[in-house]
Formats: sequence, structure tokens, C-alpha cells
Amino acid sequence: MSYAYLFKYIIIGDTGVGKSCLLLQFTDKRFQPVHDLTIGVEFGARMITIDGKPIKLQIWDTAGQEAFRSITRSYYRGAAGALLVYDITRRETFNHLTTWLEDARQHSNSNMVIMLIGNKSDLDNRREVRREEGEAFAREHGLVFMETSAKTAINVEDAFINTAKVIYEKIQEGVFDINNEANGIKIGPQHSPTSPSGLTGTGGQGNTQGGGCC
Amino acid sequence: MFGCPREAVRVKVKKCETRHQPEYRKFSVDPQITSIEVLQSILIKAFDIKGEFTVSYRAIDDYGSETYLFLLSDWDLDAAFISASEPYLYLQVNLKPFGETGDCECYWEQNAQEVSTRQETGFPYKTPKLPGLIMNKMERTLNMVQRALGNLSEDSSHQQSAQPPRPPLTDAEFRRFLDPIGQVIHPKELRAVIYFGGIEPSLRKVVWKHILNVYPEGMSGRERMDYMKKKSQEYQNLRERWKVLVQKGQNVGDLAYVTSMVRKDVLRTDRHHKFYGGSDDNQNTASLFNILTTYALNHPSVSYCQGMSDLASPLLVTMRDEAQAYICLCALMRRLKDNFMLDGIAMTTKFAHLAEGLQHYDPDFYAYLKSHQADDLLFCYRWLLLEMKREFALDDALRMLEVLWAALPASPPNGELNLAEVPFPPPSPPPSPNVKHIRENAYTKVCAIRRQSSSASIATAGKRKTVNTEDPSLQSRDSTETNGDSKRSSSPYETFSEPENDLTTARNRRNTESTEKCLSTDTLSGRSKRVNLSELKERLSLPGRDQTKNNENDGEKKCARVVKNLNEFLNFTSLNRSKVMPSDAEPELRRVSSESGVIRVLRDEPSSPDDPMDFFPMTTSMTRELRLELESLDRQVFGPSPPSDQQCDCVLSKRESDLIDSETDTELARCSPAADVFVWENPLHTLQQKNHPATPDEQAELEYDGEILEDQNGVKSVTPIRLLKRTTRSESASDSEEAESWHQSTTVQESPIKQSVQEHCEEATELTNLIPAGTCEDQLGESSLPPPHEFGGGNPFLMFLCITLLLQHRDFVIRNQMDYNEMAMHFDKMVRRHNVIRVLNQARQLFAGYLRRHSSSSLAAKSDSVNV
Repeated sequence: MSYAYLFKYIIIGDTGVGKSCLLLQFTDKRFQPVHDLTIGVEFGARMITIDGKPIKLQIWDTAGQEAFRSITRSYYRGAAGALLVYDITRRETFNHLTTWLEDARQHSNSNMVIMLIGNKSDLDNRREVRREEGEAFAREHGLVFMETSAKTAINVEDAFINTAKVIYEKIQEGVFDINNEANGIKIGPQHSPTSPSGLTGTGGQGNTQGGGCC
Repeated sequence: MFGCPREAVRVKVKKCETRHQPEYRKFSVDPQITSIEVLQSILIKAFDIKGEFTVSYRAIDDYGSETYLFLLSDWDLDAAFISASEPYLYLQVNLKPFGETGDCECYWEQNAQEVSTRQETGFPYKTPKLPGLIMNKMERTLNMVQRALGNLSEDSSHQQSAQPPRPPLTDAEFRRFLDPIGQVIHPKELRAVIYFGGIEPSLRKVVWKHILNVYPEGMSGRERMDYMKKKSQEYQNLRERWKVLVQKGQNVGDLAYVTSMVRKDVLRTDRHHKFYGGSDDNQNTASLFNILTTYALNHPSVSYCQGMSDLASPLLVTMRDEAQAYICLCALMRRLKDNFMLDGIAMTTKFAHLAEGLQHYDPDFYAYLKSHQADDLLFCYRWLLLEMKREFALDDALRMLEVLWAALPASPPNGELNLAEVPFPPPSPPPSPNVKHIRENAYTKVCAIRRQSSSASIATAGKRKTVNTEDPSLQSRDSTETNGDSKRSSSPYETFSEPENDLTTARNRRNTESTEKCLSTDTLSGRSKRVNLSELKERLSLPGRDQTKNNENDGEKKCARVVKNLNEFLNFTSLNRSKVMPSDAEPELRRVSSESGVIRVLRDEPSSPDDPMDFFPMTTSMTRELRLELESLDRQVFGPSPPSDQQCDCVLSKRESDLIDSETDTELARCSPAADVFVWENPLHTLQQKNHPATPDEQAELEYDGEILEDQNGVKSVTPIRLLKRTTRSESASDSEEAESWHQSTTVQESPIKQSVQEHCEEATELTNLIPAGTCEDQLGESSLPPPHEFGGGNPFLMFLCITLLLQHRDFVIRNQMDYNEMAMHFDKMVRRHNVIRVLNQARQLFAGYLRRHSSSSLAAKSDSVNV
């Protein structure tokens, strides 16, 4: 419904790391052990609140297999945030992070906030990638890092919301050009200064135009 | 979004749970800030709900009776707030038994219809286990839902939605298609019967092998049995070869890659269906694993790609036999493997044609999509890749698939069906893992197209301003990569084209030369990509593909960067083109050429206001690229397209007003002699390079994505670039088996494909004539869509299935003003929930009208082509 901002996210990472499950956990608060494998891109959305402002997250969940990357890539640049996911129980998914990251950096706008997610933290007994490794990788590449479990929901909310917070801060700092939809940010219909809404506070600081909303 | 005036809405909720007393809660919400998510979380808290649940709200239907409609989205919620019966908005929460996947159950609308439809028609399907409680309500709301989905606009559709045009093929009927020794007689009629009514489930196992082209032509019943026995044994051997390696612990390289990929995917393929249900060691899931692994290892040019498990699953469900399912998969993949090629060409063609088709049948909706930057139709990816398999519940998908297969012309293998492209493991110990090799090569190769596509699709996906001009380094890399390729393939191309086009060889050569000249003037260097054998082979059979890609990349690049160069490019193309179209001062004239069948409709007018999508099916530069590529392919390989005084002008004028934005530009293109410069500069440079939001002006941008022609009268016009797909049957040249079944009399070699489609279609047309003619769509004008052997990459019926889904939801989408994401989510939610009978009926109707138009226009075209 009404939102101050809309952020577009993309979830990327190897096949089978739990991208769709993370999305489902975040949007529907449930875990589905058996689900369809993603073909192309699937879509989700949820409303969150940051700094008292309703923010709509529009999430594009991509297929992990390389054959779909032509599609995946086409979505990078329209995204404000990316969750780059690996599976802590499969070393190779961690090893592929560099490729994913290069890909993302290359095809996204430079301000895209990337959150590194080590998923399946509930399977600690099968862990192949230590937490410290994930942290180190994130540090090295300037990412935010978090271990999550789509199954138990641990940190799933935080992963999405923290990413949104970073984006939000960047907006406050004026880093993002919020009037350029290519950055994956949209100003809510009722939050542009021209159509103020008393209900949810006055959104859209820093912006002088009522951006590209429909 | 509807601007609900109320400050607060009082809500009364009733929670229903089987075997429990209903509970009630009351609260108020602010309609301005309450989203469906918020509401759901309120409900979760209010009732302390643990499992899944559905929410519906009370509304008064047109007949004044009370009904409950489901709340699935913010849009529903808006509607609920607006229609909230005073003084309360009455909600009902239904808990679902925990443990159900929620997949089949929670989205109710289509299921409800399916359920009720099936009851009416008495189909022997098991209905998805909908809680009875919901089901009853569903049936009550069926009418409303149907109205909501906007399907009942046509008078006839209500009746049609209830029943297929004929009952499924029965055993007794099938026997009538067999002669005394079991040879199939009248195979076309057999297909027609299946097309209209499907096959009785018990008979599928037998008949699918026929319509999937498993059997060579003319086999007796006995021979078929022996054949299947032999083929099954062959499969067992193929399977054994990698199984042994796995057992020996040599699970490395390709084998490791394929098995791990496939294993992950079969565990999430149709697991909600009882056939694959239960624990992960389900024997059928294991069979699916074996089938896919064997296929991938023995078809290195394809290997394993996600989506194949969805294609194989129904085969196994029906065959109930691993070997037979494998054989069917091989037959099916002959036609579909191009979908999985990393070059993306087959898929791009399908997207392009789908856009073209939608534009044709529903320009308004298309315009809506365009205004929401959703006209890339990427949310239909799954539809196209899996040929709609996942859009229907599995049992329904079986029906849909057999109808779809039956709509295709027969294409029996020439000799035996090949079960292995390169038997695994390859005879000599492969130094480098095959699969990896392919992946890497294909990967680098496709990067070219993709990088452009990525920027482009992004552009379409909502932020089209940041298009590909941003990164020249990438682009030059792209062109570099493609260039070498063209060199490699140019000679096979010539060998191919010469014998092939007796009539037009000379001209083709000249065209080729000029292409090459154009290329050589460019400073591009060789492409880094290495081609593996099978790819090369494929390329041999697809002469010109890469070459033109190259050429086309050129054009793309230049047009994005320097107008001068672009114009050079355009001049070059117009050179060719003016040969192609000798004299024609009438820019609006659409030409139909069927001489090669490749270009059927050429339009000189840059932006026919009615359906620019006919030639600008996708808005991405990738498709533009491919369009160019294929266009020039056509130019080179098939030479000129003869004009035919055709059609569509009426349609043009009829819908001229639909797309106002393009009008001015059309004017320009029509009358400005300097239009070439203007036209190209304007859209590409002002629109694409700037980062401003997409506007309807993009229409203009796209419409000028064509070639500027100067005809003999000095009148300039723009020939939009159309995406042409001659390459659908990549095997057809190398694999004569395919070619044999596709036959076209007008040209010698290239067209075998067409003829049989043509014949087949004509026949289907006769049969479709039995159905009441589609009302509106018959008036849509002449065959501005590609002909049947091209449309949808040779599967025109698939296009009509997709268009039907879009049409059936267009009102809902528009009414709720859904944006890209919401639309995509809506269709994602509809996975497995579309009503197969309704969809098939409407698709058949559209298809019939299309075939009728094409059979008449192809007659005209045939006579034209004689004059070439």
C-alpha cells in the first residue's frame, strides 16, 4: 500500500543455497522444505518499517544456475540491494562468491548495497565454511555479513532489514539518486512532497522532486 | 490506491478451523497504512496463528448475495476496504492443516474453477486436496472469480470454459487410427483429435510416444515393440556406463557436476505430487535423477540445465518406466534443447514473438505493460522455457502438454531416435571435463549477448534509462567476442547458402560481401570463444547466425554510440534492403514474403501505430541485436523478399489511435527525407543515454529500431527490424530427419519445415473451422504475426497458451493497477492454478483464427513467391 520508499532487492548465489527459502521466510514467515526450483526469476514483496517509515521491499529471487544468468544479470542494475547467499554446508558455494560478486558489481549500479549471507546456519554440524571466513570475505569486499537460517528464521528478518537500513542511510547521506529508478529506489506515491500524507510521516527527505512513482 | 476515504475501518474476524469452535476478534485498522502483510500479522497475533491460513472478506456480489472473496494482495485489501460492508469489514480466517505444502491449496481461485469444471465434465482427475470448506465457498464464488478474471467478455467463452471441444481420445478411437498390422494411418487426424480433446489418461503411455515423435515413420505395432525394447536396452547401457563410474568412486568432472546439480533439482521437482511425494528416496525421484543424468552426460552440448527436470517429470509420470521416459525425453529435447542453449537465442525469439502476439491480440494490455515497463514479459520466462508445464497442476499439465504436442506437426526421427549425442564417457579419456569445457566456452561466448541484454533488460525492467551505452568497454568486448565467431562460421554459411538458394544465390552473395565489408571496416578483432564440436556442428546447420550476430552487434554498438557510424551501418543495410525491396514508395505497405518463409511480413512503415511490437517484440537491446542479426541472416541467406500487396492496412488505421505517442514519429518517418538521421539520433541518444524514467516516448525509440531505406523513388522509410527465427530446428540441416517432416513447396531446401506445418495447419484449420469462429480476433486483420513454422520458434500454439494466460488475467492486472512486481508475483502465485480447460479452449480459439488467416495469406504468398 502506502510506503515512503520502495527498495528493490535481488537475491543471488549458487543454486540450492536457499535463496527462495530465505525469501519465503521473509515474506511469508514460513519454511517450505519442499519447493519448486526457481526458473528465471521469482518475485516477492514485504513491507517493513525503518525510522518510523513504511518501506516496501520488492525482492527478485533469481535462479542460481548459470543458464539463467542472462536473466539474472538483467536485474542487477535495477536493484538497490542484493543478498549474496552461500550455503555454509557447501564449500563450493562459498568459493563461487567472487564470481557472483564480480558479476554483481559489474552489472549493478555502484551504490547497490550487498549483504553477504551464509545460509543454513541451523546445520552447524555439517558446516564447511567457518563463520570467520564469511566475515573475512565480507570485510575484504566491503559487504555486510550475516549468517542466517531460512529454516529457523534466525537472522532472516535482520538480513533484509539491515540491508534496507544501509540503503536508507545512504539515501539520507544523499548517495543514492532516488529519482533515478535505475537505482532500485522509488519514492512512495503519497510521500513525495507534492502530495504530503499525514498518516505515515513525511517521507522523502533530501529529495526535491516527487520521484518516479506511478 | 483507490483512495479509500475512511480514516479507520472496523474489522470483525471469524477464525474457522476444522474441529474447533470458531473464534471472533474485532479491531480497527487505518486503511491508508494497512497492507496485506500488516493485516496478516495482526491476524497472526490476534489469533495466535501458528500455521498457514487464508483470509477472505465478505462482499456482496452483483446478485445481492453474500459471498467471501479471498484476500491475497494489497489490491484485494483495497477492494475489501472499499466494499467493506458497514459497519464492519467482515473477515474470515481459515486455518489450514499444518504440513501441507500450501502449494496447491492456498491460491484458491483457479483451483476452485478447476474443481468445479472437472465436476461438470466428469474428468477422471484427482482433484487437489482442497479443504472441503474452502471448496464450497469456491464454487459459490466461482462466478465472481471468473468475472474478476475478466474471462467472460465473450459470449461463447462461458460455455467453452466448461468443456473441451471433444472428449479425450479413447482406446477404441485410437485403434481406428491403426491398420491391421498396427501402423498408424492418418497421423494428422490423430493429432487433430488429440489437439481438440487430449488423450484418456490410461492411453497416454501409448499415444504420447507417437505424438512425441519417438517412432520412425511407418512402424507396425510389432516393430514398435521391438524398437522400444531395443531402445530401452540402449538406455540401460547408457545409464550403466556412468553408474559404474559412480560406484567405482570416479565421480569427478562432468559426472560430479551433473549428478550434484541433478540431485539438487529432482528433490524439488513436483514433490507435492503423490508420484514424487514422500521421502527423498522416493523411487520415482531416483528414476528422474537417472534419466536426467543420463541425458546430460550423453548430450554434452546441452548437459544439464534447470528446467529439464520439469520437462522430464511428466514423461516419467506418464510412462511409469524410466527407460521409456528417457526415450521420450530425448524425443522432446530434439525440439526443446535450443531453449537451454546459453546463447539464449531460442528463448529470445519466443519472448519476441510472445510480445508480438500480445501486441496483436491485446494492444491495450500491451500498452499497459509497456507503461509499467513490463513489456519485456520476463515474468513469462518459465512459461516459455517449460512450455507452460508448471502453470498447471501436474495432472492438468499432462493434458495441456499432449494438446500442445498434437498441435505441432509430426516430426518422426529419420531412422532411429538418437539416445546419445556423444556417448558417455567419451571414448578417449577426456583431458578436460566436457561439461566444464562447454560451460566455460558457452559462458564467455554468451557474455556478449548477455551483457547487452542485461543492461537492456534492466532498462526495460523499470530503469531503462541506464542502457548499454554506459559501458563502452563492455560493448567493445562484446563485439570483439562475436567477431571471430563470424569468421569461423562464414564458410559453412556459404556452403550452406549456395546450394540452398538457387534463385537468390547471386544476390545473397552480394549481400554477404557487403556484410563482410562492413565487418572488416570495423576494428574488431577475433573472438576469444572456442567452439566445441557440437556447437560447431550446430553452427554449421545455422549458417549466418554468428555472422550476422556480429554484423548486428556492430549495428547495435554504433547506433548506441555514434550516429555517423550508425548511418554507415544503415546505409549498408539499406543497400541490401533496397535490393530486397526494389521499388516501393508506399511506406505503410506490409509485405509478405513466403519465398523462404522466413520473413513473412516486412513492414516498411517504421511505427505502425497499431502494433509496433510486430517488429519490436522486446524492448531490450538484446532483442534488437538479435533482430538485426536474424534480419541480416535472412537477407544473406534467403535474399530478397518479394513484395506482396498485402493486408493490414485496415487494421492499421483501425488501431491507429491506440498508440498516440508514436503518431508524430510515424509522420516523421513517412515524410521526412532526412528521417534517417533524425530517427536514429532521436530515440537512441536522447532516450537511452539519459537516465530519466521511461516514458511513452520509448515507443518511438523502439519503433525506429529499424533500417532506413531509400527506395528508388527517393522516398525514405524505415524498415523495422524483425526478429526472425529460421533457426528453430537447429538440427534440420545436420539432421535430415527434421527437415524431412517440414516441407514447403515454394523453396527447395530450407522450407521442408514449413510445408508440413503448413499442411498440418491447414488441416487443423479445417478442423478448427468446426469450432465457432473466434469473434473479435478474426477481425484483427491479416496475418501480421509470423507464420506457424516461425511463430513461437515453431511452436505457435505455445504462444497462444501464453497469450491466453495474459488475456485471462489482464483485467485483473489492469484493474488493480499492478506494477511489474505485482504482476509477476500474481503470475507466480498462479503456478499450477490455471484452469486447463478454459485456457486450452481460449488458446484453441485464438489459434484457429490465426491459422485461418495464415492459410489464406499463405496462399496469396505462394503465388507471389513464384515471381521471385
